[in-house]
Amino acid sequence: MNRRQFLAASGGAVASLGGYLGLRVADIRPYDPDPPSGETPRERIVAAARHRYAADHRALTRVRITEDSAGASGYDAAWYRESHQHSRRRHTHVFTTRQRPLGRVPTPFYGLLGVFHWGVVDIDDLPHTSIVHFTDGSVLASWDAPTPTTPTDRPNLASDAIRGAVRGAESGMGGEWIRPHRTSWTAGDGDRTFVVTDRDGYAQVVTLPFGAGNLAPDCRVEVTLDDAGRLARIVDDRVLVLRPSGDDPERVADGPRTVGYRIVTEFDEYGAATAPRPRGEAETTVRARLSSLLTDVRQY
Amino acid sequence: MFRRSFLTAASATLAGCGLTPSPPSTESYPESPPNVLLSFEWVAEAAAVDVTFVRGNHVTAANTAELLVRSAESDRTTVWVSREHDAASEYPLTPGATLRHSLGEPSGVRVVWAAPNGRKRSVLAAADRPTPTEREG
Repeated sequence: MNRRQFLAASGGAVASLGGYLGLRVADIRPYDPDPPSGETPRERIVAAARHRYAADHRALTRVRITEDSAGASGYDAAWYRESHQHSRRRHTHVFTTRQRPLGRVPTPFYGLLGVFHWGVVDIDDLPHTSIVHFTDGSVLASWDAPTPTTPTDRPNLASDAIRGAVRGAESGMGGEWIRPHRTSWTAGDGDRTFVVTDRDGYAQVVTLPFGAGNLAPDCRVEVTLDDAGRLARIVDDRVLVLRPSGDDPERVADGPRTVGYRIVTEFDEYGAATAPRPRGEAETTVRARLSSLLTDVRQY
Repeated sequence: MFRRSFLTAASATLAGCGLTPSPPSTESYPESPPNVLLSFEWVAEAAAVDVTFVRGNHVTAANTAELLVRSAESDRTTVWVSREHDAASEYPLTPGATLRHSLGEPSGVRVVWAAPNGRKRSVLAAADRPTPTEREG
């Protein structure tokens, strides 16, 4: 082998290897999840909820406080956007709370990230926005970020942003609106809308936060699927009966307190949603960067 | 000569390509713990509390490694269901199930859920022992 041939072969090998590693780090890969399928309403809804884990999509949740026996009610409280780009293993969660009930009231958001956001909100300093962005090798979080003008804006990190390494095989979702259950559904309008209106059924279907207390009788959940059988809309009318606990310093009511939420989530951009990194800098370490890169290369 | 060097270089380059991309997966579903809504009835004469599973998802070995009731101010624990330890009941735990937890001393209680992978524990519910005034009311 002469020198020219050696250099050409070496250069080609390095370029190919670099390109391949780049594909792995960026998670550019063939991706075509099977559509959901099922026979009964329950099977169709559970299949749609499971499909959400695999499919790229966007979910936008709006929360309204409909009743509060210890304070004001009838106001838009919060919204939450989840951009799930599983084909590239990128996921962005953006929570904004604009107004919230007094005292210790369970989070209206599902999952641990929602609990964290609801827990750091200062009722005297609203609105409050929190951002969490996952890739397969890293997590980027800013718990006190600037509030976007609209829920669909690309979020900006604040100076509190930090970036850490993760090695999880987790989905990046952090939870779900609809979980496997044994409840039967009642047909609503059309053949793609289904309703559960009894408390026992409701308690099986939705993801309730810890400390939810008791459910009032008028809880209901309505699920609408799209033409392809995917989740399109969930309307969750949740009414909780709370008893003040000893660790609630505000104790806004002595007796049981009733708090109602209307949690409406719309799912769209199936197969087209993107979850780009939020804008701005984040504090990190060289070790975290290397660990993220290694995990990114390993997981493809 | 050129063919041999090309194949050598290509072999080195493609050595990792056996690791093809993972197919779409929904294995993570569901990630949330089961819903378990409980009620508490304090039994003064027995220094105990009866915990009733009012409504929610079935508690199975697949979604729960362990469910236990613990006194808030001591180590006194009653295991309701467990994959590894002796427990008061067996899987699955369904709405209507009741467990009596002896307090031993005046105390609130915490119901603790352990994730199936055993790496995460969370307090599902907490209840404070009512004061004598509250009991009379």
